[in-house]
Amino acid sequence: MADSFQRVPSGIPGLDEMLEGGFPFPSVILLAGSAGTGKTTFCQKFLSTGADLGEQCLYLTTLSEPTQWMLRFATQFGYVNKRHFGKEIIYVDMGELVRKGKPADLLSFIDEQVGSIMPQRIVIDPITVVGDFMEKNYRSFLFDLSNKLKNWQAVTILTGEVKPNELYPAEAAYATDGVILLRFIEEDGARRKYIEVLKMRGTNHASGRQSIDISKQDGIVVLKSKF
Amino acid sequence: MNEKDVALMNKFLNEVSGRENGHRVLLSVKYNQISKINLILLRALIGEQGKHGLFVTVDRPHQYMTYLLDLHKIPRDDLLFLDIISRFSGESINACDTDANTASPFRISELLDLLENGGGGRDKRTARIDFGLLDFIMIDNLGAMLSYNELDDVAAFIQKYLRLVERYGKLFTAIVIDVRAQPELYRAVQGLCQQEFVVAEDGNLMPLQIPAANDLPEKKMEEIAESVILFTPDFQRVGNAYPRPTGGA
Repeated sequence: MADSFQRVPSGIPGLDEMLEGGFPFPSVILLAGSAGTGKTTFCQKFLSTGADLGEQCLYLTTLSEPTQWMLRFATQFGYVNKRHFGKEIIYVDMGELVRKGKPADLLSFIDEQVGSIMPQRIVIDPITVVGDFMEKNYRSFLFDLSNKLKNWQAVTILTGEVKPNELYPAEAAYATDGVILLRFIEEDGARRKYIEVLKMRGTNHASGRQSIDISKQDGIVVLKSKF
Repeated sequence: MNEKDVALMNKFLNEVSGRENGHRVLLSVKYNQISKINLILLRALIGEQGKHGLFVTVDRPHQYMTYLLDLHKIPRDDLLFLDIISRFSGESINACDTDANTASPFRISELLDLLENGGGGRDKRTARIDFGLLDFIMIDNLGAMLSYNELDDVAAFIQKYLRLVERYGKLFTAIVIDVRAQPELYRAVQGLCQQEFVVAEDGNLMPLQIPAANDLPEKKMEEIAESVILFTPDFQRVGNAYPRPTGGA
C-alpha cells in the first residue's frame, strides 16, 4: 500500500529530523511540560512557520490571558513577523467558555472558529485548563476534540501543563497522535532543557531526550542539530 | 473565505468559462489546502453557477463539508453527497445531516460501476445515480484513497472516473491533488485533463509546469488490471438530496 502520509514542518530546528520530516498531516499533538519549559514559544514558532509558508493558523487560548501581553512577549523573538497577526495567525480567547465547562458548547465554538478561518495549523494553549472545569466529561471531550480536529484537516498542538515531577497529562496523551515532552532536568547543579518525542503515530521517531536551547532569534532549537 | 479565496475562485471561473460541459480540470494544490480549495470550487460551481453535483467524500465524513457550506452560506440543496468514510470515522452521521450514502472506502475501483448500474438486484437499498442529471462530480480527495487502496487500484479508478465524465458529455470535474507530494497520482491523471493548473502558495492560479514529469518512470496505464471483485453494495439513500432533473442527458 502506498504511503499517503504527508509531513508538516514543525519550524523547530532539529525536530523534524527526529520525526521523519515533520508532524503527520492531519494530526493532534500533545506538547507537555512544566512552567517555563518553552511550550508557548514552541507554539508561536510552529504557527509563524506555517504563516511564512502561506498557511492559515489559529491560536486558541483557554487562559483568558490578554492577547496584548502574549503578543508583546512573542514579538521579542526574531522569527515573529508582526504582519501575520490578525491575518495568517488569528488569536481567539475562549477562556470564558472554558470556565462554563460544557463540552458540547466548547466543541461547537471550536467548530465555528475552525470552519470560519479554515486553518492548517491550530494551537490550543493550554488544554489542561479545560480538564479543571470539565471533570468527568474531560476524557470523552478530548477524544471528540481530537477526532474533529483531524477531520478539519489541520495539525493541532495541544499544550499540557504538568507539575515538575510529572511527565505528561495522561488523559490528553491517550487522545492524541503524538506526545512531545519539554523538560527541565538538574545536572551538575544546573537546570538543563530537553525535548523528547514520546509518541508519534505512523512515525519512526527518534527516541531519547535531546538538549534544547531557547534563543531570541530562533526560539527553541534542538542542539544536536548543530553538529 | 477571505479576499484571496474569492479572487482564486473568480480566476478559476474565468479559466473554465464556457468549457464546463464534459470538461476535466486538474488542480495541483498543497496537500493541507485541498479541503479549502474544494470549498472554493463548490462555491464557484454551486454558488456562482447554480450547478447540480455529486460530492464524494473519502478523506473525512461529509458533514464537515456540509457544515462549511452552511457556515459560508453556499446552498447545498442540489448537492448530493456520497460518503464512503463516515462508518469508519467514529462519528455519528445523524448528528449533522441526513443526505448520506455510506459505503466502503476499500476496493474503490468498483465504486463507479456500482453507482452507475445500481446494485444489480443484489441489494434493493443500493442507490443508482443518474449521472446524466448531474453537472459536476468532485472527489475529496483522491490522495486519501491511497490510505485504503493500492496505487494501481486508485489509478484504475481515476481512469474509469475520467472516462465516465467524458462519456456523459455535460459533466464537469476538477481533480484536486498535490502533484509535488504525490507524483504517482499525477502520473495516473497526466494527459487526461484538458487543463492543468497549480494553486500557488500566494493563492494565485497558474498553468501547471512539471519539467521533471518526463523523467519519472513510465507507468503504462492500459496494463493496469481493472480487478473485478464482487462488491457488497451497501449504499443507503437517506433524505432527498438527489439533483432535480434539468432536462437530462
